Amino acid sequence: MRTTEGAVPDPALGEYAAMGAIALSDAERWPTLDAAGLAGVDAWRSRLDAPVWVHATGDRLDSADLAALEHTRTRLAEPTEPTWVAELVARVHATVPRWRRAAREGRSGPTTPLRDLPTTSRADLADAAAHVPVDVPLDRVLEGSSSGHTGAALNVPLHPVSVAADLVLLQHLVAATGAVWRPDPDRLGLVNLVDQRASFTYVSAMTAFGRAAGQPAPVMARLNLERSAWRADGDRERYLAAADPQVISTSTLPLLRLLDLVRDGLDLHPVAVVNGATDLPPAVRDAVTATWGCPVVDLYGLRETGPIAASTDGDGHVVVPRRVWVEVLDEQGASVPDGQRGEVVVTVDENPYLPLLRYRTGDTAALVRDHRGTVLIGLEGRAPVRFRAADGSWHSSIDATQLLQAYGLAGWELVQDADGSVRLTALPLVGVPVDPAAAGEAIGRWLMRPVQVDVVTDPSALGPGKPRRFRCDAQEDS
Amino acid sequence: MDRRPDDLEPARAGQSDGPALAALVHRLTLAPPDLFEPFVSASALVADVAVSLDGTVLDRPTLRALDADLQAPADRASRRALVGLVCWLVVDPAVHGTPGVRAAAAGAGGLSGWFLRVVEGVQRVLAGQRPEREWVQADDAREELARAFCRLGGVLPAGERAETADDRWLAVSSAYQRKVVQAMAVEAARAEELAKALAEQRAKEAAAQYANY
Repeated sequence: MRTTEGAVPDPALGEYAAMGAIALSDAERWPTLDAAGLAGVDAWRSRLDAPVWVHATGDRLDSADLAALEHTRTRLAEPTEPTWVAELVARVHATVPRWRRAAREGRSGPTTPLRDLPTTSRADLADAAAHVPVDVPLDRVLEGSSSGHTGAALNVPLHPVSVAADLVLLQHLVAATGAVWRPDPDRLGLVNLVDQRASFTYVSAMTAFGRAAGQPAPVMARLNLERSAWRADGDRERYLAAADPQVISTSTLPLLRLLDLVRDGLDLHPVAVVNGATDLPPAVRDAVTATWGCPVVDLYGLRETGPIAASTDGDGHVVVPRRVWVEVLDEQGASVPDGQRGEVVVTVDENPYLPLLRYRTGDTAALVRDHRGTVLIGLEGRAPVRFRAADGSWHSSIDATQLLQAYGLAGWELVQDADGSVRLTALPLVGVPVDPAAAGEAIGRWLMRPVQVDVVTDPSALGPGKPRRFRCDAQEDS
Repeated sequence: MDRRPDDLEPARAGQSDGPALAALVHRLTLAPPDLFEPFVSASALVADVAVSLDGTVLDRPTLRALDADLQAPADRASRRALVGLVCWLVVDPAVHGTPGVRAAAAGAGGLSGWFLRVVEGVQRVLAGQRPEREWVQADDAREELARAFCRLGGVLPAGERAETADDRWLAVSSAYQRKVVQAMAVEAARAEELAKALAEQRAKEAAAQYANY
């Protein structure tokens, strides 16, 4: 090793005298390094063109230190639960009847880690009172109902603040797309649009809308596109044109109906479109972009949980900045590694009347964590349905979703009867070159069975409310 | 023990190899009736037992604290009886000689230190929970006192795992059962209140929805 021949620049800098502070051997500098490792260091230390090394130093780490650092590495790679999760676990064991009972019976307690707690299902919520904290005043409680695609409707206790928090979140998500949503007294600030035989419709002022001081609260309306909801022909179009809503918050089928009206001459200029309740097929997202050129926010959530994640580009749903913690579990309730598909299970502490621990959404996705945060990839509404191919093998409806989306369908219903026969009801997007028969053939190849294809042009042909997109009555032994 | 044993949250702790529960329960059935008589001084009894356990002569502050507990305005007779019964249990070598009690005593500054802790705890946890004589006459009361004795002494009944001991303690603890009944009553009343609140028209009117689910 070369050492310095020169002196330090100033006597006060004595400690910089070359190799003036040497105390250890190489074995002490790198206690775990083998001969090859030391040779690697020495090669760079002893080059002829190396600078004048002033010091010798190592990392001083023994094998126990390395084990500790390995632990740190694992911890960094693992998702860390936000602190409110443990606080929520402790709180509900003191206040929520279901968890108080678990504590009494010794099944869990305030310090039980979240991952060791049982999951909560939609069926559990049929006993709503068991999930409402005993210490929250009930004078603000609202009845929310959740239709659900399976089983009976649920009554979900809601709080006005948690309902209106949706508006605050929508403002945030719309602003994040770069769209400008400012109060405009000549327009409706938002319409919540449905298309069903019977629905609550109303007009409301959005007093929680974030705006400059002194500006009046923008007005919103919940509208039903169903013809029978209007007094006279043309009223619907006239009202919508006059309102020219800034944000259209809806779900896929009413959105398709609205796009039909636009094609027939209705002139709207939305700042953004929000989709909820149902999957948003890429064909529909593209149609919105082509029609209005505005951002589309696909909001994923359940009435029981409120918003969970949102997609503004169709590339995964990013978990929204609320007190919501998402896990993905397998059928046995075990956590699956990031990137693998499983059931989306959420812990949420937003609605004071319904804090939920590990609520099974019945929806599936794979979870990834990237610069956007926690992202749900391939979110598939509800538990996938399995279809039986001619050779007896079973195939998930997730495959069918991919196929039918790839063929550009805007909506569909795929049904397999008990005898194995398959029917596809296909809703192509008007004005887009889509061949529903080709989609049917693709399903036919997938299941190795002939497929009967019915093409519908009216979204309401797929039924009211949330469409049941898949059904299979074939049995294991059929 | 860092938690009160009548807390809703079970505490899991204790040295294994404590006295056999059956032995404690049986010994309670043999307790001398004198223990329930007002002329028996519980303080003097405690002092005697401390001497017999490890030769400790209780100092004045300890005796004063003991008297203060025993003279507490509420449950005086109950406290006296419980302390007398603890003395009766402790003097049995089949109790204080078990490896579990020896280990727990080592952590409490000796047998008499350990014993004083149980004396203090038994009043805190059980005083006023049942009529005095029930502690020796009723099966469930004897088990409750025997289990409270073990928990307060930081030992597990012989052959029991901590989880089992916890479950069984909660099953026999009067205070705990009373809390459970109260908690369940609160929950039942709440369920009714919620159903009523949700049925009211003001809840039914709901609030404007901005998104679809």
